[in-house]
Amino acid sequence: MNRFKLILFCFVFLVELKAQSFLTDSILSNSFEEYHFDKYKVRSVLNFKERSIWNKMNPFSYVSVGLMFVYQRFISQQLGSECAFETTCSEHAKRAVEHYGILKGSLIGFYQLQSCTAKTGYDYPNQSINDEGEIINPVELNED
Amino acid sequence: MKIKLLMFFLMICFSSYSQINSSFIKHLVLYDLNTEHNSYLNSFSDSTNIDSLDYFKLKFYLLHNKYDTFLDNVSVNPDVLNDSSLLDYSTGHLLKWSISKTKSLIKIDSLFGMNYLNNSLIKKSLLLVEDKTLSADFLPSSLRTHFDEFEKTRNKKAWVGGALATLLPGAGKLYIGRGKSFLGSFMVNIFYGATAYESIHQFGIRNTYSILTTGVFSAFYLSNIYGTIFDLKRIKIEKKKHFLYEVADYQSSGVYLY
Repeated sequence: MNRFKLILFCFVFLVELKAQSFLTDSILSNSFEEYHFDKYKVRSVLNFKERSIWNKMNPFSYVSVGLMFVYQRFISQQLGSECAFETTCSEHAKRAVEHYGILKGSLIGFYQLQSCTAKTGYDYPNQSINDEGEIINPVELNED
Repeated sequence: MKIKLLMFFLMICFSSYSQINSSFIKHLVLYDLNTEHNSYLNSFSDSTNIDSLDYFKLKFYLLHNKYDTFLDNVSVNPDVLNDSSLLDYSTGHLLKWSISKTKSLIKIDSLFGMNYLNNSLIKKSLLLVEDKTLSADFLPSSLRTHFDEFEKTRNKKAWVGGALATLLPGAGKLYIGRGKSFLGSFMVNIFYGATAYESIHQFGIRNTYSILTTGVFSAFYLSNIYGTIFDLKRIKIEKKKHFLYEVADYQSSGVYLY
């Protein structure tokens, strides 16, 4: 019975978050027609195209990236926090898992999470900062 | 005689009509009329034998950062490699975009051109970043500062960074040059370490909460070590690109395409 209540609670919580998100969008668009606001970026779900067959079959990768997707879709939007990096921690971690596999990818994700401070940008050269003042942080190491 | 005179004038008219008007192109560039610029260059058919057409087309590609098309065409028309200012401009801008493409242009110049780029600052700098034994004496003082910065990073060892991060979380960041985020990393690890210690102390190792807190602490601690090593690789690339970017800026400053 308790389990059933817990599942019900989680379900209602998620539906509530989703509904709130839709409601906020519709209120903003109806009330302030002239006001243009940036909608959240479209999140990718999964992309293991260039990975080996082991990575494609590894359930942990799917679970971790799936959890990250759920976080982005339902929780992150509610937090509304500003990120120092161009690619947010969750998106960076997701891409890192897709690119390097579950172990290395998670470590890279956690590393960015603990590197995110208000002054982090000062550690980077001007070429690594975009027009909006965010740090450009690609997952791949491109020497070219 | 009259016919010959008529023929002569006709020839002059045709030849003047078939030449590219460089002043008109300058006007198009000055007023940012890109579509008209493109249409004007394409108005000359490929069968028309105008020497400067390819030259102006290459300039157009450079102006609009179509570097791939520029490289494809420059190997077909090596005559344009005789223009030293075009080469200075193109290498300067190509280097900011891609290191390998710049190397390709230098190679094309050595094979088909006058090997003008052989003694250029950009080629020497590209060799300098790849070979530790080469001297950097040829660099002007303004670039020397950037090179010293790059060299300092190049000599850093990944294992030293990893070892420092193992001993004191965040210390690896101080070593690799990400000092501003040291405190964040240090505090996160101390906080989760203390939480894990406290939960194990209070509830024992087999408790769910203890396992959870220890897991989170381990993830942060290990990522601090691996991330330092990974980040050092990134910093080396970053510093190299930064130095080459400054070289490209130095090379292309005061050089104009039109």
